[in-house]
Amino acid sequence: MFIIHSVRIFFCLIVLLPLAVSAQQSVVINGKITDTHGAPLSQVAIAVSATSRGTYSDDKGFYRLEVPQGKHTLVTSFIGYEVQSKQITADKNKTVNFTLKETAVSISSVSVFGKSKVQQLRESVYSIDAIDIKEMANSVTNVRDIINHATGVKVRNEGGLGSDFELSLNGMSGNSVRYFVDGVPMNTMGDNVSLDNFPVNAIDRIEIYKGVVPAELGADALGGVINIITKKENKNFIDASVSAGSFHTYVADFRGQFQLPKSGLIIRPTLGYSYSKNDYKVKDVEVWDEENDKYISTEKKRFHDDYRSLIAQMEFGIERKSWADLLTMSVSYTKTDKELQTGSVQNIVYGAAERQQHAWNVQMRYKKADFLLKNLSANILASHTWDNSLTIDTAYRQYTWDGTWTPTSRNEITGRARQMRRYKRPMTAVRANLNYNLDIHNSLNLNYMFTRTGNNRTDDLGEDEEFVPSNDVLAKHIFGLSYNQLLWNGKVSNVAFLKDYMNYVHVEQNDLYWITNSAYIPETTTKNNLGGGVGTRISFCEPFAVKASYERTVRLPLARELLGNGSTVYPNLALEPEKSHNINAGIFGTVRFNDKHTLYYEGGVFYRKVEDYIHFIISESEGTGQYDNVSNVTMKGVEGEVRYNWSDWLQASVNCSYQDARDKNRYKEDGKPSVTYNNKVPNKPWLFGNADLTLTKHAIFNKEDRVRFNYNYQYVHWFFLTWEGYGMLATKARIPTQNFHSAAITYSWQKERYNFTLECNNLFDCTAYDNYKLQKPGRSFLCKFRVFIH
Amino acid sequence: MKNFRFLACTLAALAIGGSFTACSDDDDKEVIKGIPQVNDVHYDILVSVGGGAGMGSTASNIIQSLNSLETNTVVDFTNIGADITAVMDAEAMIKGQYYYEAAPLGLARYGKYKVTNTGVETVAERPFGQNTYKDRRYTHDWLNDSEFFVMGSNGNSSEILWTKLKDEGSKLTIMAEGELGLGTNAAYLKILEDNNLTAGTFSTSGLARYRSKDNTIVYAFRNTKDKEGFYVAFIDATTMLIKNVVRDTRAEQMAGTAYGELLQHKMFMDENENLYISCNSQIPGAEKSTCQYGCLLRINNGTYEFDATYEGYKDYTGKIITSDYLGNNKALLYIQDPQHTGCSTDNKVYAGWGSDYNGYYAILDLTTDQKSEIECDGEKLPYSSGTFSQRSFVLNNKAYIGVNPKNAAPCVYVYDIKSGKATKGITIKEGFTFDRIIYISNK
Repeated sequence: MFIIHSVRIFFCLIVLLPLAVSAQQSVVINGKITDTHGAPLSQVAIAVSATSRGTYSDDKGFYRLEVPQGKHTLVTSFIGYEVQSKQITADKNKTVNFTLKETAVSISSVSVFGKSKVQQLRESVYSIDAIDIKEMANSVTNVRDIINHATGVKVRNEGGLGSDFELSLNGMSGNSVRYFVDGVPMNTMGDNVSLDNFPVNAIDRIEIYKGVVPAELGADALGGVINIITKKENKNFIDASVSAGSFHTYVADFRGQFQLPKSGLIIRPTLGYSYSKNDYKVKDVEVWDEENDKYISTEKKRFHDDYRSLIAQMEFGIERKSWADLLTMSVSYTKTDKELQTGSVQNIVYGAAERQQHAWNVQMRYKKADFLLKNLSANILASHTWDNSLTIDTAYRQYTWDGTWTPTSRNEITGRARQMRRYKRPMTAVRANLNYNLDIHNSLNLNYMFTRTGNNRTDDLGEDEEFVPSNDVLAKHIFGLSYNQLLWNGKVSNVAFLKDYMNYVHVEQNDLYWITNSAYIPETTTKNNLGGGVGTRISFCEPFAVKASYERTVRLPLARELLGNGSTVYPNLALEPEKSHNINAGIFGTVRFNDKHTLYYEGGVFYRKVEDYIHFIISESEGTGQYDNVSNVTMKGVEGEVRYNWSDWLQASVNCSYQDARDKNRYKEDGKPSVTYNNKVPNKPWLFGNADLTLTKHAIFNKEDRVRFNYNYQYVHWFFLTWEGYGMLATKARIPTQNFHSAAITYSWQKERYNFTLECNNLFDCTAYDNYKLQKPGRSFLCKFRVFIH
Repeated sequence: MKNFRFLACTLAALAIGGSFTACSDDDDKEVIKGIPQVNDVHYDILVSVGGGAGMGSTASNIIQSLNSLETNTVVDFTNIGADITAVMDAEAMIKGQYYYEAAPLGLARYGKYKVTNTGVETVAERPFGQNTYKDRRYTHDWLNDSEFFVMGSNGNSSEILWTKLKDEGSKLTIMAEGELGLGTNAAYLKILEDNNLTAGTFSTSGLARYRSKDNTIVYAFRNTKDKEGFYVAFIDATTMLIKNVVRDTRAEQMAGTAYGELLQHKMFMDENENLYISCNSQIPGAEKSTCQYGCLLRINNGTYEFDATYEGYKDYTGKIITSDYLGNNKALLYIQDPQHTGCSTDNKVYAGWGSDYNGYYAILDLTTDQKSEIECDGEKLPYSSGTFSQRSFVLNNKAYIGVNPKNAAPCVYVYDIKSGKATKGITIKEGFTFDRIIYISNK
């Protein structure tokens, strides 16, 4: 109650504050940035020297900066172009244009204090971690692993490439984290598209929103959002790479952009292909020893874990027209074939079951500034996906870890009749975003996101008498209204927003009702939930700033949570939306010792009070599970990161996260006190950290080459598999402490046109587990060759 | 008049006999026929933590061993007891000192385990042979002290599989296995034909009990296409050939169809090996299929059909959850009955079923069908919550009865069968979900 009251007061304050700021002395500098041929350059950083103030040029090369009155130096920075600086006297609003010359010197060799987009995001009102993938594109083959290095993030894989995984943000895991691509839900490309198979070359950066999510994203994300921003250069480019590695892993990515300036026509093809046999060795698996008449622990290769993924997208359209800044249409096709090797625990072995998924998507985007009204911009998207999934479980075989099998009378996954379970999940998504700038300090944003997902289940064989075909529908409407405000020359930034979440469910399935609860809910339901939040950031000086944000958030259950996946996840039709009070607070700052040494730090605390928390409840005894409302859980934690740069040749960073998730259910199902009230929620990593070191050396053999070496260390502290404190502690099952080391070296030549990387993951071949003690790959090697022509 | 005279004489004789025997020290030592008599035992209490109990539950399972259930102590599971969750299921076949399981945690094997207060020891294992079973979804019984069998349906439930195993100490061996051939059995098919029924799928586990006097396994099962009755197959325990199949429509189903008796006792035999099967049927007009009423049906020793003259628990409301034989032709029943327990005014309505405090223990006289509730200190035992639990067993002339009352911590009452008196025993610390008590031999 106190929180809600405080929020109301805060909300009122920041709405009224604009009246107080109109008298401040500031002027607006705007201008256009072009190359020597007159072509506009977008994404050029323009910084006010010796301040944290800066911005980027837009798609047309225009920029706009608000600065205090007085003398300033504007500095530009853009990869492949010379740095330019101009001294200005900011006594009134004025226009300052830049014409940049191409250069052979990399920007990293020049000291520019303008903030990168990634840094700007980190210093925004929200608790955001941002990862610049462009800088890592040479060595990265898998986005999932990179995100795992971010502060407060823990990715728990069930195996190698293509395996199911669960990502937790500040302790909020799995599906309470939503994935977006350029602000659009990632699953519009197909349910099989994930961080594992999204083409790295197509990514510019990844934004990680923790707990409090901007209304513009239209997300009902309780834990946060991963938003992948794709690469959009201002000129033609080709970015292609191939990589090969251990366990028969091959990855090829392609991203290109071709523009015809006169017609405004733009074409962006994207292609990603991944394959892995995932035939790594797993330790401590049990096989029967006939001689000794007992099971023995041994090491065996995975033998049925092939993964193959294809993502192809063609985006085409026009830009810079009077009636549209951007109008594009895209068509994409995604396909994933995946063999299934284990259930949710390692000693349940499959040898024939597999899952096939494919999806078609058509998408239209429209962007326009000054849409209908001056200062009103529109960003509209419409998308439809034909998403198909087939789980094949037709072998009546019992496999063992040595790859042999004996005939049985039941299938592998569910132990029932043969199944060829087919899911058709057509998905329609519409997003409309309107942004209105009231003035240079204040703006309003209205966002509407609609998604409708069908779930048509059939079985090709019809042998399982318990299975009944069905056609369910899940629709969501999410409205968001936000108000953004800048005060005191940008030193203070505030945001307040309201969200409305509506979902509609129509369910026909009623088989396995005692598991799915289908007998206990109406066939059709509509639910409405309100949420909202506020945030503020105050920069006292460059070395010290504080920020805080709060959101009352709601997450509607996903189709997969409500309706299952046809194999290892049972439906739970009685699932309620999750709700949470999310609070973040933190400090950050940048300390520059001189031109060469920069130290950036940030530290934060977070608090989540979750009601009807949705958690995947694994049923160890069946190799299957189900999402359920685990009722009330609180999470609080501390996290911090320190990054140090020594010119452009050394970057080091360390981060650490401590999370404390507690069961807040006072009562059991029978209404009596629960002994686990206030206990630490089991089977969750609660202490982990990363250390990263990157060394870069330019001009090894000639002026245009460089070598980059990266070392990464990850630590995950041990944790209990079940509720701690009950039963003899010494003999309780626990997930052991894990230490991972990885290293990569990249040689780039011809101004990073050509790049070759050698990488070793899990350097010391440590046994690596996920939460359920399923082993991940041991030591692996990978090489990657990338060509970037632009 | 003759009858009256006979009855009077009988009562007089019983009264005189009773007056002599009541003062005899030997009376306490006299064993009650038909109930287990094991001297050197301890008691295991199974609780679950952090989630609901029962079949399919994903909560942590903790077992603590106690030397007595009759003390006035509070049992706490904090930092004591074996957390069995990562090793075995809570539902098991229990014999002597050991727990036995097929498909423990879904693994393709049989396992034999010893549970102590410090942890679980895996004593013996054996991979599945040609027959595989689903974890917790099979029925079983012991053929003798070292041999037992498991039975359960195949993947599409079109046939019943059986496996006989031998426990040789540190070794478990598969003696024989096969299919019952129930789907093609002539007697079964004839019943279907005679009653104009079609063959559906069989129960996942069914209920099996070994009858030693004629070396017969009595196996109760359902046909999913038959909504009016259930079936019993009589199987030669040596050859595993079906001797006969019968159908009874006095109840829609036996009380347990999917999980055998791995947790709950659904059948019992008296001292003459007459088999009593707990059965339930949906109340006509009920909101949901959960709303049921029970009955007991009997198969007399040596026969291959239901005793058509017997129907126990007749005309009572409530669903029979568990049943144990108390000796002297009496049974201990755990009954879920919202109407009787005041949780509802109408058992046809779903509200009041589920996890409410709607269960109670009663003694049923198998001869007169008279039902009486057990009392302690002049008051009925408190009504209890929990459908998927087995909190009672009978041993050494006593019945141990666990309850989970609404306004008090779960506890165990000890009912002296001969005196008919109950006393309060151990209490389980509030907060744990009380799932099972069982006796375990020390030798």
